[in-house]
Amino acid sequence: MIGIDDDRPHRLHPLSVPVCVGVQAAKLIGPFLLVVWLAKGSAWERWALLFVVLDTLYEALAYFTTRYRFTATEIVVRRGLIFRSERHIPFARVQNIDLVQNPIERRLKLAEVRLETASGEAPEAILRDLSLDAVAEMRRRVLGMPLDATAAGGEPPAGAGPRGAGAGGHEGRTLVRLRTRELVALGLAPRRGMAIVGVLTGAAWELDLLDRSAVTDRIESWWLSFGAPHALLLTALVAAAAIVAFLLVSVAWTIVHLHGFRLERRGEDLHLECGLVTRRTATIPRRRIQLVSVRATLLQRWLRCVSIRVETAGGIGDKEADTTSRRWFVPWLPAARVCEILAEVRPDFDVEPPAWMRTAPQTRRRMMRKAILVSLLLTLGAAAIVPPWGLAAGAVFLPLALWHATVAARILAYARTAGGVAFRSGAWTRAVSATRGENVQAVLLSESPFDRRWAMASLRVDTAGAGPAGHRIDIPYLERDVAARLYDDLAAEAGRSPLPGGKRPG
Amino acid sequence: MDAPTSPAAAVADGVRRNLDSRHVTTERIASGILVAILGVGLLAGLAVAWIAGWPALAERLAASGGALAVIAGLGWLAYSYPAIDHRRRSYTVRPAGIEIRKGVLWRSVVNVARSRVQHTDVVQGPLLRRFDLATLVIHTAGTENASIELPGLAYETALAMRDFLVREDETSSDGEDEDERAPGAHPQRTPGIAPGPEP
Repeated sequence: MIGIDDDRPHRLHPLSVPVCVGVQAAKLIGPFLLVVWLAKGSAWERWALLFVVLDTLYEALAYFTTRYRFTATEIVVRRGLIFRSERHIPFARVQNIDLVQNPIERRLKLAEVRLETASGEAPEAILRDLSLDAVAEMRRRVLGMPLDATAAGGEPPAGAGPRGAGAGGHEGRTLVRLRTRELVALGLAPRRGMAIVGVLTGAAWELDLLDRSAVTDRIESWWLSFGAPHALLLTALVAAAAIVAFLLVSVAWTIVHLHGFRLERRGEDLHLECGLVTRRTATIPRRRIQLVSVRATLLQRWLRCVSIRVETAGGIGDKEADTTSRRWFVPWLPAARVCEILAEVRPDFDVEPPAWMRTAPQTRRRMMRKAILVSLLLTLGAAAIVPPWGLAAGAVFLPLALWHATVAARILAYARTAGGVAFRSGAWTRAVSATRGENVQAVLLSESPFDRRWAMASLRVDTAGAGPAGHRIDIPYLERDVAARLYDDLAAEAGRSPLPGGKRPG
Repeated sequence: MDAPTSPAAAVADGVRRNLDSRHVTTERIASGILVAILGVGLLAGLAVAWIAGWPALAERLAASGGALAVIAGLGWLAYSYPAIDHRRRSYTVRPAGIEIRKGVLWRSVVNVARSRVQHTDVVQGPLLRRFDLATLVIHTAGTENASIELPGLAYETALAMRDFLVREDETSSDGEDEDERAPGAHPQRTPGIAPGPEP
């Protein structure tokens, strides 16, 4: 299958020059007009603009300075005009291949390619643009290799055969497809609800602190001219309008990003695509998944839905674009289908273990005590800022905090699954994460002074690429001896399961 | 598990060890230097205040007393804390991996399987070099604990531990240690930037 070195260097697609210039120009046209037309631009701004233009040209030059070629086991990307760099990326190290396409690129059948490895934050190589044929060729070579156990841990035992069959082909089985209705629901999810609360509080804060000016005075007098009950009504209306506007923006954002979402299984790879304007495509080799996290916000639980996120090693950039495949692995899924989908994704990551173990019996008491303490401090703080009304805030906050502590303590649980560990937590947003011994990088047992008072300890399991899923295996409030036993157990599990499936004798 | 034969494997005896006692000294010196810098700053401020004769005498006296108390307190802490900290730090190397304990108030113990070690650094500053000590830094492919430091090792011990942790050896089941490396990450190999040959 492989064996012939194809050392012929490939270029980017020639059309990438005009596309790149066009995209940059479209981005720059606004600021450019602002600077030139208003003729207000200082010399400094004009210089800045010049640099931006030069940068655009430099990016467009990538076509002339970038070459890539395949050897039997790696892809070699060479770039640079004056300072040359050559990067060797072994196929086995490629975690996933992401494509990003804007509308022009889609029309021209081009795509920006991001090769991600486990190392660090940014994609290992960004090639813009390649033709889709070249992309298919790259996929075939990079991901279509037979199983190479030197790569990530954890070949799923169920499908331990060579990846060859079907991996190179394009016949995928669609696992999940999202319709607009579901995207709307997703856009309304309380995860954004919290953001709305944040924005409203921020706005209120701003208004409180706003310096008295002619404008605010006039608004205030206008406001008060309605008389107290009407002013109150108006305030409520404005707040409601703000919330509605925010939700609309949120829904629109979700639709633009996730329109046409589809998750497919192609052999041993998972293939994901979405996006209305800019189309993103990601290919994630199944065995590179380090951790699976199933979560449900309040709204999702009402609608009996969940979202699934996965973590693969590497590519933990903070930019949205870099983590599309992980952040939005399956954003919306009927709860009833979780088992079915996970069986396709990673059957060996057990997020629904037969028996959950609760943390220490005093967990609830400890969380309640913490809730009381925190609400007391908040109430005192509020009372200090707004003398009489702050105490009322406490009356609202305390029961809420106590309820939260009760529910959170009830949900908090862990399970030692076959070859791995699972963890469940969360009062509003419930999340269950699971990983396996071969993905465990380090096991950490810790005791704060408070833990010692309660004879407790917490246990944390570190995996590669932890973060994007927003939930990790971090089990607090364990009884000290239980924690110590679990720690020994997991450390031993991590130590004895070093080999990915296929190669281990027996 | 068979008894390891090579000298590097001799470190993997499964015995919980304390750090080198010289570590207390170097920590005392390092924190002493910090306190000294802070103290000099405070004393300089006081000197200016006394020379300028401002603010009022009572306040000057109070400030001087406070500053001296702070310096004395920090000095005492710089002297005694390293010993307390030293008692709470230990490490255990086993054939399967390494375990590091630390912390006085917030205590923790972290375990890294040997097969998860990506690479290790042995770091020595000028102070540590004088005392022939080193810090061993263990890198994994993890996220939060991507690098784990073990300070206060005798230089020779640090080297032996490094050799043991990164060696591809016979204790693994089929000798292909590469296979045991953590998920897909080989930082020392992956981003190989080298001047390329002409196409």
